[in-house]
Amino acid sequence: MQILDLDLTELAALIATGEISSREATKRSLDALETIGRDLNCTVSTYADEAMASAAKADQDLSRGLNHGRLHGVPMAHKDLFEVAGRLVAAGSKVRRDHRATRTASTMRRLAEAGAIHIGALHMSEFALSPTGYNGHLGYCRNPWNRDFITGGSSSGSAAAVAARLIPGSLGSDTGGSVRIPAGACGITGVKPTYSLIAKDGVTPLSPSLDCVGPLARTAADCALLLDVIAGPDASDPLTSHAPRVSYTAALGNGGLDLSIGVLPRRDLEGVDHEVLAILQDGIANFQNLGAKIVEADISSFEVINELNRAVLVIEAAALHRRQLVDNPQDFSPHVRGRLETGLYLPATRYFEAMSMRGKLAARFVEQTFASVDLLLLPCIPFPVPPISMETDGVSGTVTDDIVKFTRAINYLGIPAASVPAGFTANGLPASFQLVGRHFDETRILAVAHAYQQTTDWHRRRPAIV
Amino acid sequence: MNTERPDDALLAMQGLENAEWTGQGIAGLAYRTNDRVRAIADLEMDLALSPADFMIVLDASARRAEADADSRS
Repeated sequence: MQILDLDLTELAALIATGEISSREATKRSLDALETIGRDLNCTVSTYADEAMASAAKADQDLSRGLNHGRLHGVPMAHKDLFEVAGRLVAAGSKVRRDHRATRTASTMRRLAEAGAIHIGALHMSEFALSPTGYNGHLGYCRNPWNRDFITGGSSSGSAAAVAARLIPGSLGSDTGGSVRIPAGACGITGVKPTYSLIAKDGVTPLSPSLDCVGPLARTAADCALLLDVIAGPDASDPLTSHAPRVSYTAALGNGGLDLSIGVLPRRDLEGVDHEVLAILQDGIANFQNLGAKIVEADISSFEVINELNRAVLVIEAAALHRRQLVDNPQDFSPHVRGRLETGLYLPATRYFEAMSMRGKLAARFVEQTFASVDLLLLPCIPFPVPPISMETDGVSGTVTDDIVKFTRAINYLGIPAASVPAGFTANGLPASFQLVGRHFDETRILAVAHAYQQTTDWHRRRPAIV
Repeated sequence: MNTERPDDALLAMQGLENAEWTGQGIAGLAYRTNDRVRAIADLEMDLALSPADFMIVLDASARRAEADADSRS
């Protein structure tokens, strides 16, 4: 049995029954992060000694009948912005390279309470500020499907490590597409939840009004399992919603789809590459075969909302980093400084307007768009995953600007979305679509993604390096 | 795109009067974003709106989700 081939759900089940030891699984993942992970530049650090000690304890506890939870003994590594007391957490930056956390993020605590073993920190864009995965200090993270291509970002290392079968799951963060874009570019499943569903304390912020923690894993079922563990109200983050805790895995189901899915009319798909369009069409046909009703939906306000997201993001990020911009500007990559500077020159009135209109625009979008459909099916990355040679080192350009065209507005609206692997383009890189729902409708999104993955194998394909 | 260094008074307000300017077209991007948000606000902004509205919308959605969950169970 190839342990690293197992997805999160499978591995957790086999560890729980004692068929695989946590020590064996953890050792395999640690070795993979130190070899393939270093080669792909997705590994920032590993915690070998602590991880192996935790794994040994997990095995010992299990042998005495003590199972700590649904992730008992499962090795995981995460984007390098989740604080764990005593550990260095640099958020992909030079500015915070010596930052040692004094608290533990609620999400990390919940994973640990469910039995997960935290084995390392992963590559990310500097302060989560590049959707392509570029990092001026760490270099490019390499796509496991072809190391000359971008991973997408900013949760670049999480997506690359899961896609390369180094770890079965990871947490990232998403402010304008930072979970969905790398998941899409690397051929795995990623979820950006409803704003406020998951606690964000102890997570290095980019833009607190937009940031969401989200899981990246191979399957929708794996993401559902991770949401079961980390979603829900938490006293450590008073902004978390008091929506009832639900079981995302229990809602997955196995049957047909008795619902309607909204797709975009041609005019709203202008600029989407023909290969990506063909893959979307295949996805639509698959959903029809599963029993879903397909209807046209209107998201013409997306472009406007994208701009509001950009304003909120750059202003909040600029405010968070202003002091360091004054004191240590040389410690920021030029493209990060450039983006932060944008926020310094926007008037406070624009920020207040953007934030004040948010409730009205979100309510209107949900009422209008979801009046006749249950979910939306949108492109994720609107063109084939580009080679690193086309990237402009994070500086605003075609790739950086267009890659977020269908993801950014979703953060401003606060609604949930998942990116789901749906095929491959001619360059051999994965392509994905997004399933988007009403606030707190993650159960439906994951159930539909799961149904799709029962009839396709895109999420099961392995990169040649594995 | 406009790459000129912003007004010194504006930089001074941010404590950046002595800072190096990256000149990556940022001023142009700021102007563009400013103009677009202002245009949206001209259409949508009114005195009744508040930044708290978004959390109220989320709260109402959470209550609806709770009611839906109850009706299913």
